[in-house]
Amino acid sequence: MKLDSFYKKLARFLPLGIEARTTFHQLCTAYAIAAGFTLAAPLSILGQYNNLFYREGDKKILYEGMMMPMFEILVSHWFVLFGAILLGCIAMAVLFYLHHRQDSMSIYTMRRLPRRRELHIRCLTVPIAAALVAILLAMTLMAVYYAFYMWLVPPQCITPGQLRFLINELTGGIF
Amino acid sequence: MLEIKNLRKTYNGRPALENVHLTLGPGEIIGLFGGNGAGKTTLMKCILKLLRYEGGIYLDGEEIGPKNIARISFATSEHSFFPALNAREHRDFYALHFPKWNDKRFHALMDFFSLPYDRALRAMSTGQKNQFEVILALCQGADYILMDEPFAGNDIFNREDFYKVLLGILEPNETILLSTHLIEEVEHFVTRAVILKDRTVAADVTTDELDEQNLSLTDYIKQTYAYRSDRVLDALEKLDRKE
Repeated sequence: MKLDSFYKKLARFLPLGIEARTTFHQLCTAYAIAAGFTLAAPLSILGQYNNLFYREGDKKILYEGMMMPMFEILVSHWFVLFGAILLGCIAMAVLFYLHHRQDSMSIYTMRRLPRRRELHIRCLTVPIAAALVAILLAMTLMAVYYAFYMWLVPPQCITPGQLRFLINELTGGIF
Repeated sequence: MLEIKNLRKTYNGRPALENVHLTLGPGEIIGLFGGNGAGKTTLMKCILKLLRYEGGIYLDGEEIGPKNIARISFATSEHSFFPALNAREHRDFYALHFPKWNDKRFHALMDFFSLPYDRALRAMSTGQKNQFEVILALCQGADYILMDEPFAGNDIFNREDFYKVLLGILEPNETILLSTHLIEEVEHFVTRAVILKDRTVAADVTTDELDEQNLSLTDYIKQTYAYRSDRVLDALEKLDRKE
């Protein structure tokens, strides 16, 4: 019941004729695939971590002067599917506008509604919200992996200024 | 009163309408006539602000905008309904957005045309789609109802039903601007005829004035368009000579 009421509310922010349930399921699937793909990031960190050591019998000994690769270099490419979701959100907005010219010209009705913003609300809200969720999810996962990296890697093997470098890379050097 | 003053519309610099002046009063049924490309659809789209234009279009002295746009409705042969929605869902959406939505008229017209409430519009026949398009325009609660070739694809019986129903249900303050090529059919339905030619209003006449002149609407339009009835014979003769 609760889910039905959620779908009804969601439908108010979608073009008429676009199914809320299907859209929601598609977005959840995209997030799940993108998030699942990033699980390779901690594995990559673990792999590089193991390279910091050599074995003498049962003992793991750290190589002298060995440095761990930068977090950003190890992790960022595993987030590429989130980038694809962002591009998908732009495409979704365009398709939502085009939807009003498919099989009829319902765009005429949408453009002559007394509530002028209705068309834009129905075409932009979900793509913008979906993009924000994707960004938030990616940042959360990145924070978790960063915490894992900092917890796992011996401090002397970490290149200083990791976080600054990461923020710089993510923001295109704005900060 | 819907007033169009010195309207000019161009497409890529080419004028589609020029120097159009027109006033539509309450309760009139106006036929908008003209050849293909005369600007009938463009004029309607300008009134609805679906196109940018130069000049002024005023509804009771005010420019058309979000405040008064609900007073104008539109039925088009291109269809402006939502194909995936059924009639009931359309009703809910229109009732939500148009404060004067006429539910009683909606149910009466749905029953009259025996249209299904729960079938998606895309699954209906062309005739049914046209009927529903006009029903929406008639039930929006608008004072000015614009119809652009609304019966394209409907059979003659369907169209005649439409005219009868329209005449029966229209309130005295409701104005219809009907663009059509079916001049003979609407001759006894319209109260005024506006003819577009060469991108402007070439003639504007009431049917009473035509009656006084003992002219049929079809003949009047042919006169306005300087129609040469002998051109077909000329063309056939020329073809014969060549052979």
